Amino acid sequence: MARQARPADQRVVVTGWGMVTPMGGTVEATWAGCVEGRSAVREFAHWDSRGLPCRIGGEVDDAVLPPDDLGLVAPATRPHRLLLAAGRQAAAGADLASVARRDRIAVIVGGHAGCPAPTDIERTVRHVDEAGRIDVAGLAAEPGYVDRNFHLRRCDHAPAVLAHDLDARGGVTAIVSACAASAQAIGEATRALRDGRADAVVAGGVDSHVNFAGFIGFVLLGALVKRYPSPEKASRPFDRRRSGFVMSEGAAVVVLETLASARARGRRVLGEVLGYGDSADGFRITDVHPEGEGARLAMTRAMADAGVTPDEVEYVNAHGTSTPTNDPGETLAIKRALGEARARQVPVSSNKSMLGHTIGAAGAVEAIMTWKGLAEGIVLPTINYETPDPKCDLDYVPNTARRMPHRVALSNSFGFGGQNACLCLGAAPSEG
Amino acid sequence: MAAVVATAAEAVTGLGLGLAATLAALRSGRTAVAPEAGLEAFGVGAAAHVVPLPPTHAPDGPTRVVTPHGTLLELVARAAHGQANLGSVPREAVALMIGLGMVDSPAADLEAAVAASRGADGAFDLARFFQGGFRAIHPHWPLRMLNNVVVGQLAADLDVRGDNLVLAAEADAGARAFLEAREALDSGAALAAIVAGVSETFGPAALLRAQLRGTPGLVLGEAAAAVVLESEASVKARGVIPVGRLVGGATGFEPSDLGPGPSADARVRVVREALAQAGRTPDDVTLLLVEGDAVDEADARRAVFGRRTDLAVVAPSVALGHLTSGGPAVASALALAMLSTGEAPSTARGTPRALKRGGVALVLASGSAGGAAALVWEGVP
Repeated sequence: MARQARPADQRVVVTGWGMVTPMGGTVEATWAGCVEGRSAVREFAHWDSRGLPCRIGGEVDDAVLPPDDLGLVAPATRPHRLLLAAGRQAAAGADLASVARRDRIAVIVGGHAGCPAPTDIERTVRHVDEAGRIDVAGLAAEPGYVDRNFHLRRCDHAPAVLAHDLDARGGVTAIVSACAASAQAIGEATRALRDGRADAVVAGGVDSHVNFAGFIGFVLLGALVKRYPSPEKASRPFDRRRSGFVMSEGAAVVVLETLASARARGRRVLGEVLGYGDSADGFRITDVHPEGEGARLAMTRAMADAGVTPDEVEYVNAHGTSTPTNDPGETLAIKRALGEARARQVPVSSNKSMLGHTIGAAGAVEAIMTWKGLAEGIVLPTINYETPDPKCDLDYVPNTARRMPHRVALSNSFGFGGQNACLCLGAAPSEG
Repeated sequence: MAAVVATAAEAVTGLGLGLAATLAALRSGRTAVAPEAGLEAFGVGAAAHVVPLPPTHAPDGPTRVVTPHGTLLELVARAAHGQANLGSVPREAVALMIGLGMVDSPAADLEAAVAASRGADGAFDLARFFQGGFRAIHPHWPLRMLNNVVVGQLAADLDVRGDNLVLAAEADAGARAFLEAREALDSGAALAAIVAGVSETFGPAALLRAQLRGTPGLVLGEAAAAVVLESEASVKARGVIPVGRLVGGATGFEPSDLGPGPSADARVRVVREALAQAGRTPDDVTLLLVEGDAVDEADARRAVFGRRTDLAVVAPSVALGHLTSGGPAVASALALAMLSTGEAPSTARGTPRALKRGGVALVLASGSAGGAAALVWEGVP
């Protein structure tokens, strides 16, 4: 395979990871809950969701996060705290502090920063007259509005704070391509390392839309789950009774470097990025492509970049949102990418059945879960799979984790708006 | 890393609907910066609005989302796509790499919901908002608030399906888009890439952010530009005429102690790395496009170039305003045009400078959080 042909300075590996999800404050805690097939979805407890048609989701326990006083000019936002928690874990695991050239450590993060509060929305409109003119000075005088707009909604601010915290000076990149963002962050980090543009990259994603303004956008889009017997049963990817996705929050970060660098530093290798592919749907902005063309392209490109054939892919960590349109479209795309016969042999599962959808963090969360599975020889389940859907007719690893040694997997992330990313992931090299 | 070839460039700015119009206006000494009523509170009182735009090729509708950013992006990207004849490149091999200024909620999209949430006394009532007032929000509001939707819409409009990235939120991200495109071309993931940058569009949040960047007198501008990059092999195979080459580029991060933006050291590092990639020295640079809004940038310039008097220094922001994520694309498009015409207009009320055709231009960019970037362009002899 091509990955064997790549020299060690072209092979990109993971040497540290960190994660905060509704399941727990570490990779291990999240993994353990997912192996047990537990759901982290609950009735919202930390914000007032009265009046909304959907009042469930995944919330990260505040106790696992750093305080909001980070020495910034305003209290840190939820994404700042989530990202710092995950990023510090990853950096510690990789002993990033020992990397000598700080200007050769880059930070690439996918996500969309914080959301305005309803009061921010009202403040804005209060200063618009009947002709649509905005009294900017009046708005600027509103207490608290200015800081919120500057720090809350700047997509690159939390990544910059993380870079500063880790003393990483090789450039900060904020990717804002919705649910594909953090898979793209890992993919772009892989290219940067192969190109020799960095010695190490801190890559991952963060998002927190479990608040009113974050939520109502998806309510208005009709994308959130509409019917569910209990919160734990709400996210049911590929099941015929699925009715939308479950909103969640979290952050996941990995430290990537070349295999040559990891060996030289004596670091334990946790997994490998074999390949990366992405694509644009180039279709209607409000719909997914009926034949999953963009998703197929991303998977095909990731396999080509990795130099693996469909026969070598042993597991697919699906985007699997539990929406009526994504799941059959992704099923079709997997069949087109792997071939119908191979697709029927390969287990496909969705972590979102247990964690909900962490939006910009999802790609990195799922990549780490996939690497853990490769390391442990376990394929995570799709829970709440009870009623088969004729349009979703693959092996979705229903309800129970499966012990299955495997070496190569795909992890899919498809963004609302038509961005698609796929990572081809490998187990840690045996010699690593 | 191999150089990549620019095969088209287009811009829409406060000085013109097109790159040629913008450059001509700069040469004639015009500025898009004009007094703006209502901004006195910010100590600025001026802004650089983009020129009036023609309608997009299709209106907003049930399956199409048009936004201020999207309109700008579509204009420049469609024009660059046409100039480079990208229709002859397989659509799966055309990448979109976009640096996008912050997307803010248009107040008009929310007005109905706020009105529906007012109590008998006329005051906004959060409970009413929660209990259904929010349902009066414009149905496209969520899509307009997603940064990536404008790029998804552009991919649909241009029928391209290649690699794509949306980077935010300031000029360092706009420069990064060029380097991501170079990597996509270098890795073979794409044959051609439309690299575009779009500024923030005017609104209260944008103005407040401009003020909070902490640079006295910073004038916000609206603009967008697109440059088509291709591999040498693709250009040869298609027989397209190059307009320049991207021969080096680098990014770094280190907040300054002096104010928002990167330190002088970080700026110097990225310039030296970018020039080293290009196999060039500071003495080879004949044209320098600066942001012109930071002491650190001036310090870095002196550290790299000393007091060279033969270096043409152009600050597009003087005439176009500060363009955030759109800045590097606009500056790069202008640099290519200047290297092609052999003349750099003065943005400091001086006389234009003659440039050697095929010379080297350096574009500087930064972000208020501490990001620094540099791009090195070569003109076509």
